[in-house]
Amino acid sequence: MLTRRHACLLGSAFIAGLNTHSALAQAITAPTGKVILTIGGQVANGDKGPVVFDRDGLEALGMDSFETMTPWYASKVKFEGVSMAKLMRVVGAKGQKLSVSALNDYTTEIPMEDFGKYNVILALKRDGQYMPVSDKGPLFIVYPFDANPELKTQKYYGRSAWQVARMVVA
Amino acid sequence: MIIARYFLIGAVAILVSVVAYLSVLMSEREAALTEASRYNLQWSASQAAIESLRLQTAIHRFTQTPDSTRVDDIRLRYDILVNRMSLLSNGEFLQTVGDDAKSRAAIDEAKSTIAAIAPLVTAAETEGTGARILTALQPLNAKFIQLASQANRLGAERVADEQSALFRLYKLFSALIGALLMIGLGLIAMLFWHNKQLRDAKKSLEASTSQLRSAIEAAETASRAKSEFLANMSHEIRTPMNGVLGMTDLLKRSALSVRQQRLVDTISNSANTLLKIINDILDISRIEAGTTELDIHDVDIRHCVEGAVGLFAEQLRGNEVELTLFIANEVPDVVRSDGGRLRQICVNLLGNAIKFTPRGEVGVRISATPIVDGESTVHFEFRDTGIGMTPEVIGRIMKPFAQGDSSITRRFGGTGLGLSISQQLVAMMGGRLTITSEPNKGTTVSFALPMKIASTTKPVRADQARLVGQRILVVDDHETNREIIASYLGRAGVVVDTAATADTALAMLQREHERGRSYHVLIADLIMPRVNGMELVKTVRSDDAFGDLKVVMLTSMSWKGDASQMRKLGIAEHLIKPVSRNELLDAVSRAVFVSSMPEPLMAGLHGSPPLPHYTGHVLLAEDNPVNVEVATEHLSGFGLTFEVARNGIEAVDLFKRGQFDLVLMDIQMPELDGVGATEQIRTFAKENAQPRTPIVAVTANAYEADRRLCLAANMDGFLSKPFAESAFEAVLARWLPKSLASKPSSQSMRDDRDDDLVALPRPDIVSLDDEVIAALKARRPALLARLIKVYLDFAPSTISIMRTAIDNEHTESLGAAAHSLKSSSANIGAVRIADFCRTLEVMARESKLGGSDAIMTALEREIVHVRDLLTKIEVKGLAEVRA
Repeated sequence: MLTRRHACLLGSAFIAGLNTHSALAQAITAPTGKVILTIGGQVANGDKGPVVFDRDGLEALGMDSFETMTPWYASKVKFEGVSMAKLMRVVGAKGQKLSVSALNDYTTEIPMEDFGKYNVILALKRDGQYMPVSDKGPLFIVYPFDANPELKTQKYYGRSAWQVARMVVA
Repeated sequence: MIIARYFLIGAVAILVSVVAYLSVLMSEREAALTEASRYNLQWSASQAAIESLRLQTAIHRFTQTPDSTRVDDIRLRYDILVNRMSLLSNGEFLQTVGDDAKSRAAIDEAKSTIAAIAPLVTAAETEGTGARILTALQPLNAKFIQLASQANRLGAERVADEQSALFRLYKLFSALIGALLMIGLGLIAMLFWHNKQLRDAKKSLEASTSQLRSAIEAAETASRAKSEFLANMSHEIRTPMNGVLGMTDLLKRSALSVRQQRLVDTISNSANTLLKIINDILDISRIEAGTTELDIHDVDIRHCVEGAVGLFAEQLRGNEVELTLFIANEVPDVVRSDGGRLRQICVNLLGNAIKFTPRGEVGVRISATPIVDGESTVHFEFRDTGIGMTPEVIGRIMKPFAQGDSSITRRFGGTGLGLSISQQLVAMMGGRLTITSEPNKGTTVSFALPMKIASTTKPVRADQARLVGQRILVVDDHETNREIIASYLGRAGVVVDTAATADTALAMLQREHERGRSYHVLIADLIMPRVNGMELVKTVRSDDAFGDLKVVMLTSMSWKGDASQMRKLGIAEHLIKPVSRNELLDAVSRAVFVSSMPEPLMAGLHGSPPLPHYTGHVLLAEDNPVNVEVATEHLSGFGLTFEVARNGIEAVDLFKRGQFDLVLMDIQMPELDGVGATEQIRTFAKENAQPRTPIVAVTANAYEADRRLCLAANMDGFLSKPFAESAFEAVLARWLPKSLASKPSSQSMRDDRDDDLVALPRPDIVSLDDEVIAALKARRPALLARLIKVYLDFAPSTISIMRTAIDNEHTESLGAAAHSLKSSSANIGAVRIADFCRTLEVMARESKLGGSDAIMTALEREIVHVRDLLTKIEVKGLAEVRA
């Protein structure tokens, strides 16, 4: 459970990140492999169009992981991926919400503040294996349901999009 | 209340069980909802159908325009479809689908179909593969639609089930809320009921409170009524008492045989006792009603207590009781207190002590703490060696109207109120009365009062101050007395030694004489075991060595002094015990500074002294005929003329018409009361610019509040009925001049037998012959002063002897005394007194006493005048001697 103070600290870290977004944006390695994620809208790249990532590019940002029960698996599974908060920082996102689209064109909207409040990750691996498209891959937004029981509602299940391909910051 | 308690317990139990049941239901519902939320059947089924169609579309596109991107798209769409299928075929979905075989078959078929086309998708670029995939997928469309509709139906059923479960829950909720509402209403009803009960209780409490209040008021009214009744009764009793006492006083002065005199004395004593009892009852009821007020003024403690003690010295005559009084030197002279009340306390306590002490000692001891901030605590102690009492008895007697036991009342008489009154008065004055006692050992009653020191002080008198350095030996077998006398003398700077027996005293006198520091004064107690005072003095006088020793004898009331023997033994002074400090110091001063007495001083006073005369016209306003008679008798007795008004209006009328020197105004009169009459008289006098005539209130309401009322009404004094002759005279003495010539009054009983004008004094003779005085003074001024002193000591006692002789028709002693006084009066120049004495001497010799009474009266008045004149000369003379 986050206390108000923790929330504030995270908030200020987030703001600090925004101030240095250009530097971080430059740290993104240009995709050499297949582009698996496109982030458009209010991002630091501005006129140069959306920021794109291949799998290595995402992994290069550093991986977070946690175990949790989900409605989609019978048992507890371990997810590994990039912290959404970090990702947003890296791309210099300047907006209130994030529109996430999946390969099957399923689209959901996530308020930016979720990433400040919860350790939401953009998972690449499940139980140590990259997730294929045939099994919710390649990218899966996962909330830490077990760590925050209040997340166990349809609202957050709906925000947990799989087969993620595109994001738009607005 | 018990019902309410059960109701509360029941309500709480119902609530707890309902809430428990509800929480079980809620958690069930929550689980159901959570489960439902995990998966949306329709969504999954339709998504599967859509993804299948999308795959088919991708294949169609590739078939039309084959390129690598479109191949990738086929594979992506296939993967997505696989993902979908895996969701459809997972356990939960199957569980939801339940036993529907058709749906299971459809799922299995779709799954196997999709798995089967996997190799085709891998080889999608190959010619004709697209068509094969499409063919394979063709039947799936219908299956997916079937699944979707099945899911839709199941979903609807589930929603319906959930809805009905929710409805049940809502119903339960409603029921619960209803129950809660009922319970709430029940509680509110109970509260109302309870509140109503409280209100009722409060009302009944208020009712009983007001009942109590009115009961208290009734009781207070009754108490007030009782108080007023007592006050009225006091007035009613006092009026006839006034008659009894007044007439008895007057009767005492008339010519009575010895037997009649005794009878009158008894009447007088009985009346006084009755008056005292009435006063006591009134006092205690006034105190208990809280209407008693203290009258704080400057009080000379010594004078006050000595006065009280002096009352009993007479009573103790013939008793085997030694009465001692010791007022410690540190006790302040003048304090702020209620002297009357203080005296009353002392009289009460001393009276009790003496009453219950058949033999032994009754001692009064007064001490005081050092003065701090103008205040001192004065401690009073009354100790006796009487019958004493047990603690139980002490507790009982502190209550009013109680004595030790009823037999005591019979044995000792009295109302038993004295102690109660004293106790309450002491409390009013800020002290607390304590009693310690032991049966057959004695009783000590004591109290301490905080007193402010009065600003007026009594300076040490000059003659007493001169005693410093005198050496005095005190011999008394009684230790307390030795102590008291030594203490009093010590304070005056006298060097005091004491002896317990005559033998010791003699030895000490001898020893000090041999050492060359003889005692100046010997103070000897008359009554001592073995060798008494008189025998001691005889022995002393037999020795020439003690020729200069002055002797003061201590006697008691019971002693019938032998004047000639005392004179013969050169006893300078005698004092009646208990002695006061002033008396003692005065006596010692006289013994030291005045040479031995040439004339007899010892004489018992028998019979009443004559009344002095005053000049004036008095207006007496009094409605009660008995009181009128008493007052007029007194007025004529004092040689005054008067007019009587029977009510206030008459009083005002008479005052307007006449010339009065004094008005005696009864307060309670018909028509117009004393206060009203006084107002009218004052107004009249003011309007006519007349000088202020003294108006003295006369009333039976003898209390402080009444006195204040009278003074507030512009009256000048206050005389309470029944009044003693002395109190009456005090009023006259204050407001009227003493008459220089006797006015025989036809209304005076005493004057009944002396109409003989021969007896009247000769107005042409002066009181004092200046030539004689001048001659004496010329010879030796100090001698004149001493002569005057001796004469003034001697004359009054001689006059008393003469008065007694006349009253007893004892011609022989009258002749002797008249002769004696004649010569000493002539020596000092008191020619008028000498003239009277000569007449009386002749009358005595001829045994013709007719008219002697009038002359005697004139003589008694004359000596007062002469004394004033001589005192002035003496003081002047002494001043000159000292200068």
